[in-house]
Amino acid sequence: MLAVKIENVTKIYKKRYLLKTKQSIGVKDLNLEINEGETFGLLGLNGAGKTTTIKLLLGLLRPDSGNCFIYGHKVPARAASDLVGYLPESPYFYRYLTAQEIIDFYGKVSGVPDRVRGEKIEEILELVNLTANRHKRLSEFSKGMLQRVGIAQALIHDPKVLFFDELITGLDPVGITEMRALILRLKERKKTIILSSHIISEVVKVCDRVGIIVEGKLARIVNLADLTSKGDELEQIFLKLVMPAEVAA
Amino acid sequence: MILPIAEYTVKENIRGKIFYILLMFILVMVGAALVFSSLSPDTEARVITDIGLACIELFSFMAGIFAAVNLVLQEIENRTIYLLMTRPLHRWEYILGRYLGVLVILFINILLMLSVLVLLLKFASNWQWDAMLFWSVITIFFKLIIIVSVALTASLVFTSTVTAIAFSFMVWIIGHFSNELRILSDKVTAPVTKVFLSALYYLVPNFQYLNLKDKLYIPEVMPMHIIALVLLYSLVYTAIVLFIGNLLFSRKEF
Repeated sequence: MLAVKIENVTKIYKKRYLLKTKQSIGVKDLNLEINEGETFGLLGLNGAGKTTTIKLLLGLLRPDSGNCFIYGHKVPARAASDLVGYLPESPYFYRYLTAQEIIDFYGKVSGVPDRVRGEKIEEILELVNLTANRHKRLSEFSKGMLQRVGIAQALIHDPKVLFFDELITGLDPVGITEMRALILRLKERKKTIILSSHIISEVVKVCDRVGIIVEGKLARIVNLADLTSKGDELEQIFLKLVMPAEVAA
Repeated sequence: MILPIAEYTVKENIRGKIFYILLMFILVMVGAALVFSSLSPDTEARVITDIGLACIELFSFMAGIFAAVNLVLQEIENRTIYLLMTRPLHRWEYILGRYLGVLVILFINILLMLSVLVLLLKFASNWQWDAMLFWSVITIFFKLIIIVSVALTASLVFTSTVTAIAFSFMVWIIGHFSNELRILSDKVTAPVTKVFLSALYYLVPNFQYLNLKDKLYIPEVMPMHIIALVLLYSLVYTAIVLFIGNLLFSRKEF
């Protein structure tokens, strides 16, 4: 079953100045299908279009042409929002709230009923290993712990599809290992995970397939099961696609 | 969904130390009571009441527009807006929840400041409760209902904190001179200026119209139809401004 579908999507950013409008390509003629339960990596250089792709799927951006679907629901739609959880790159959560308060708040706005919300919060806090720190204010949290709060808020309404944008950027090795373990646990729960990154070594450890985006275009989809030496081969493929031939030589 | 957003806004503002304004108010009022203690009790009570009401209005206005302007802009800057806009939540629910949250905070703030003022008047002079004080505070709150919606919508139009605050401040000032604006537009002959002044008169909220204490009749009874009209004016004006704000917000991409 298809969890995510992108159909001929183009997004052009228009920046308006006083006398002129500057345009830049977000993504161009993008087509992509992601299956239920799959962990899909969006790989690309900074500004390649990874975040744009995720935002289009979440309805935060509107495509200039084409359509996005989440389990057949055309985005944006409330039915599609019910099915997704999102963690943007380095969100700055309100520091004076505690971990429990912030997760409870996102549970409320996601429509999680009062009678099950408490139970749900317990479960999620346990999953992201924050039970002991539940009553601490976020101002006392490390970056790794904040990232776990971010994952918790994305999971509170039990979405089927999860979007993680640059999940491990800025984390120390311990934080990276924790995140990897968490993704693998979510994989076991049959969640469909779409994560963007530019760190190849991490993507190969958790993803089933990887889409390489170059200047707004999906240059290639790589099935990691087809590669023998995953990291090295993927790096070669990636570099060939993103670097001009003469530089690569 | 409006309630959790409003609740979150209240919590955010309380922990963001918005009530420090109350401390400032106490300091100013105690200072005023000391400075004017040499006056006769009646005069002192009148002076303290005037200063108190002016401070309640000024502090609430400042807290209101700062809070309203930052409601959405700060959330965009912090990227937490993404987390809300990807939820099964209508955008108008978000705007209304944020707006109501600020009003609740301002209402609590005004009540606390009013309590301080009443206590001070009781201690400093042989002051007796009068309806004028009550209706003056109600007037301040009606004005805030309008200006907070203006500040919130201005933040969505200008997407700049400084510009939105400056705009709200300008509306606040002009709104207190609506009648003068009307007289001026009647007197000028240049058509462009006339149209401009008339447009200002009709577009900017008329805060003089909201001044309930001037409509207080002896023996200190407020006619119900006046309260109803003032309330209706405030709510209709606010609804239109918030509708425009929501229209802009619903077209916004993040």
